[in-house]
Amino acid sequence: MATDVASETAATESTATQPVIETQSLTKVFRDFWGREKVRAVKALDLKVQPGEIFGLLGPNGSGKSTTIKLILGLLFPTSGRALVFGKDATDARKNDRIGYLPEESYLYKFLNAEETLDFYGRLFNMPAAERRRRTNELIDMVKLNWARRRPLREYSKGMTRRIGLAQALINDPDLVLLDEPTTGLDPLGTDDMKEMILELKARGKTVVMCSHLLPDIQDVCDRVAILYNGELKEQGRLSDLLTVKDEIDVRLRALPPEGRKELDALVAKYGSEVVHESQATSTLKDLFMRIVRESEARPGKRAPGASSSSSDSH
Amino acid sequence: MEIDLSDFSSFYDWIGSAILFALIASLILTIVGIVIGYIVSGIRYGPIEGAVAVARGIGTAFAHDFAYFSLRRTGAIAYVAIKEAIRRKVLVVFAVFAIFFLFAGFFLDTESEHPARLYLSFVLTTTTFLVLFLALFVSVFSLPSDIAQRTIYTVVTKPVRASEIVLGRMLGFTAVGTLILAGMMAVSYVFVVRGMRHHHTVEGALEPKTGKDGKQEWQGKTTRDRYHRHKFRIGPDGNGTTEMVHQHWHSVQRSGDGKVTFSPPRDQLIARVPKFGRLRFLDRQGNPTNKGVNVGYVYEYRSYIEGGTKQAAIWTFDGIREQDFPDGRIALALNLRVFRTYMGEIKVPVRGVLYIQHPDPTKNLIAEPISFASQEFQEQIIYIPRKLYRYRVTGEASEELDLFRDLISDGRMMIKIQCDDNAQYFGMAAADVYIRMPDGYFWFNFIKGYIIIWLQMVIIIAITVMYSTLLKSPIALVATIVTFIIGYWQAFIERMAKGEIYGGGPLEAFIRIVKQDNLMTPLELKWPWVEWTIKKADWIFSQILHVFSAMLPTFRNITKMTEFVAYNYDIPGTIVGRHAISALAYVLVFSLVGYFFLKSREVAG
Repeated sequence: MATDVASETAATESTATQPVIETQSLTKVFRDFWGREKVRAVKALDLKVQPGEIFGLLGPNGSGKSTTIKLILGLLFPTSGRALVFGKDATDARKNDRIGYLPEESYLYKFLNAEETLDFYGRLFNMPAAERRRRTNELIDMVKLNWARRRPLREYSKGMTRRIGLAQALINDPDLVLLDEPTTGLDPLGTDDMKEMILELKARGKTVVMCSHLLPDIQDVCDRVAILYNGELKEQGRLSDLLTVKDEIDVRLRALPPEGRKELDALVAKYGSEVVHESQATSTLKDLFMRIVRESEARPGKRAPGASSSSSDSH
Repeated sequence: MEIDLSDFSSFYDWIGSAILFALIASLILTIVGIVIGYIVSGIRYGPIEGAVAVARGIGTAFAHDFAYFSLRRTGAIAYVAIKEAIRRKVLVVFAVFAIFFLFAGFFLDTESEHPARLYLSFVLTTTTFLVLFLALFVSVFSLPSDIAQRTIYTVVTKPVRASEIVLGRMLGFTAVGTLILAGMMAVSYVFVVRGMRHHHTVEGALEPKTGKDGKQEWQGKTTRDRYHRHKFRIGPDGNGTTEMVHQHWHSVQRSGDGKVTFSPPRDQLIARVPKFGRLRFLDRQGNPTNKGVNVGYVYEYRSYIEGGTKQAAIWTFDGIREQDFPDGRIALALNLRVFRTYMGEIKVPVRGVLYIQHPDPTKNLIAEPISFASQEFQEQIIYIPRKLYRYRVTGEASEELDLFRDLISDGRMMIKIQCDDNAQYFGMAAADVYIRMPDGYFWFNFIKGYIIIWLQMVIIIAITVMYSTLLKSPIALVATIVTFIIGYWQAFIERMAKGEIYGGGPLEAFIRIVKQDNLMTPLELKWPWVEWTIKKADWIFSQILHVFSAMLPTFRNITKMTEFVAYNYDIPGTIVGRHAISALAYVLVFSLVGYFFLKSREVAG
C-alpha cells in the first residue's frame, strides 16, 4: 500500500518534470540485404515513462518489446521517429551514465569472475578503484553471490548469471534501470528476490522499465504498463486502472454455513445482481512450492510436513 | 641485398613530405568517408535528413566522444581483450614457434657460406610471419564474436565511447602480441648466438716458416667444426689471425709452451654502420652523366663503367667528421660487381683504382690513387690512411696531404673509382660503396629489427580491428589480407597504373589467360569497341587501386628493414623513428575509420 502511495506521488510530480523515457512515433523496420521490408517490428510507438515508476512492457513473443528496449538503449537505430532518454537522443553515449541495463540473457564475459566482471563494468563508468571495490562488495552481497565471487562466470548456473547480470546493471547506481525479461530462467525463490529488488529500487526513487511475457511478474511490481501486439501499442495506463473491473467484486469466504449461503443468494437476488463466477478456492502451485521450500530450509533433511496434506487437498 | 637510399634521406627531408602525404591522404579519406556516409544515410533517411545525420555524426564524434576520451575505460577494454586473447590460447603460436626452432636443423643449410645471414633471416622471417598471423587471428574474431554473442550489449550500454572500444582492443591485442614477440626475440637471440658459437683447435702440427725478416712464423689449419675450417698464420710475436671463412675469423695466440688457442668467432654477428654517398658518373670521354653503361641486364639497379676509358663512378659523402674516426683512417667498403666481356685468367681479379679528390674541382687537388683488386661477391674494405700524397705529374715535387685537413672540405669527401682492365666492367649502385663507421652493437640492432616487426604487427592489428567493427570475422580476415597485399605490392600497382606492366590490367590479363595469349603480344580482339572498353575499365580500376594502395603502409619497405639485420647492417635509428611515426599515424587513421564504422552500425541484429 505504501508503495502505491509513493508511486502516485511520483506520478503526480512527474507531470511537471521531464519524462525519463519518451518515444515519439518510434518505428523500426528490419530489412533484408536488398532493402526489402522484412518485419515492421515497432510501429509509431509513443511512450512516456515518468521518474520513479515501474513501467512494464508486455506482449507475446515477437511483439516488439525487446526491439523497443534496444531502440531506447541505442543498440538499434529507429527507422523513423525518435527515442529520448533523459532528454538526450538514444544514440548519445552520455545518457548511459545514468542507465543500468540487464539484457534478456546476461551477456557477460564468461572468462571473468564476479569480481572482475563488476570491476570491468565499473571502469567503463570511469569509477576510481576504491569506489569500484566498495560498489563490487556491496552488489555481490546484495545479489548473494559472496560464496562464488572468484568463480568464472562460465561455471555459474542460470540463476547466478542472472543475479550477477543485475549486479552489473546497478554498478553505477543508475537512475533508470531497464530489465529485459528479468525473471526468465529464475526459480520462484529467485523470482521473488528479483521482484523484491525491483521494488526496493523503486523505493529508492529509481525508474524501472521491464519487459516480460510473464504476466504475474508484471502485475506484481509494475505501476503502469504498455501492452504491445505486433509492434503496435494496444493499451497503456496504470495497472490498477486497467485491471479493475468497475462493476464486479471478488469475495472469498471461509466457513460459510448453508443457511448463510441462502441469505447471500437472497441478497444477490434482492439487488438484481448476478454471480459471475463461483468456485472452490484453491491454493496456487507457487504458494505450495514456496511453503515447501521455506519449511525445508527451516528443517533440513525432513519431508516438509504440510506437503502431503496440501497435495491431497488439491486432488 | 638492395638498398634504397631514399630510405636513408634525412629525417627532416622525410617529415616534410610525410606530412604533406598525410594531409592529402586524410583529405581524400575524409571526402570519401563523407560521401559514402551521405549515400548510406541518404538511402536510410532521405536526402536532407541524411545530410543532417552525417553532420550530426561528425559533430557528436568531436563534441561527445573524443572530448570525453577516458584512459580508464580504454584500459578496461584492453584488459578484457588481453584476457580473451589468452583464453583463445594464443600461446599455442609460441609452441609452434618453438617447434620450428627445435627442428630448424632439418631445413637450414649447414654448409652455407653465410651461416649468420641464414640463421638471422630464418629467425626474422619465422617471427614476422608467426606474429603477423597471430595479430590477424587474435584481433579478427574478437569484436565480431562480441557482437554475435551479444556481450557487446552490456558494454555499449555503458558510457564507453566507440573510439575507446576500438582503441582499447588495439591496445589489448598489441600488448599480447608484444609479450609474445618479446619472448620470440629472446629465444631467437639465444638460438642465433648459440648456433654461431664454436671452438676450433689445431689440426695436426703447426708448420714453422721463416718470415720475410727472417723471424720464426707458423702456419696451420684448424679442425673442422660447424662444417668449416680455417687456415691461419701466427706471427713472430705469437699472435695471428685465421682466414675469413663462413663470414667470420678468429684471432690465434701461441703461448710460450707452444699451445695454440683460438678466440670466439669475430665479425660474424655485427652491426655495420654505413655512411652512404651520392653517386654520379663520368662517360667515356670524361663528361658528367647520371648513368653508366647498361651491360644488358633488364634489371637496372646497377650501372656499369668500362675499364681503360675515362668512365668513372664518383661518390660524394657528406657529414664526415674527424672525431668519428679515432684511429685516423677511413674504412671504405666496396661491393663492386664485375662484368667480364672476356674470361681472361678467371682467377686473376679485375683491377681498379680509387682516387680521393677535393670536392672543389677548381682546387685540382687529388691524392695518389689507391689500386685494388676487385673481390667479386664479397665485401672488401679499403682503409684510406690519414697521410696521403698529392697526385702529381712526373717531375713535380712530392707533397704530403692530410686526409681530413686537405681533402675533406666542410665534411664532404669525394671518391672516384675507375676500372683498370680494358673491356672489363665494374657495376655499382649508390649503396655499393660506403664509409664504414664504427660498428653498432649487434644485440641492439637485433632489437631494432624486432621493433620493425612489432610496428608491422601494430599496423596489422589496427587494420584488422578496423575491419572487424563493420564486417563479420571471415570477411574481415580476407579484407585485411587483401589490404596487406595491396600495401605490400604498392610499387607494382603504381607501375600498373602507369601502364608499365605488360599484359594490362585484370580484365585484359584474364582474357589473355583464357585465350592463352603471350603477355608481350598486343591484345587483338574481334571487336575494337570491346578492346577499348576493357582497356578503359582496366585503366579506371588501376587508378582507383593505385590511389588506395598509395595511402596504405608500404609493408614491403618495412619488411625490408629486417633484412638489414640479416645482412649485418645497422638499422639507422632515424629509420626506426620514421616507421614508428608512420605506424602511429596509420593506427590513428585506422582507429578513426573503425570508430565511424562502429558508430554508424547497429550492434544489435
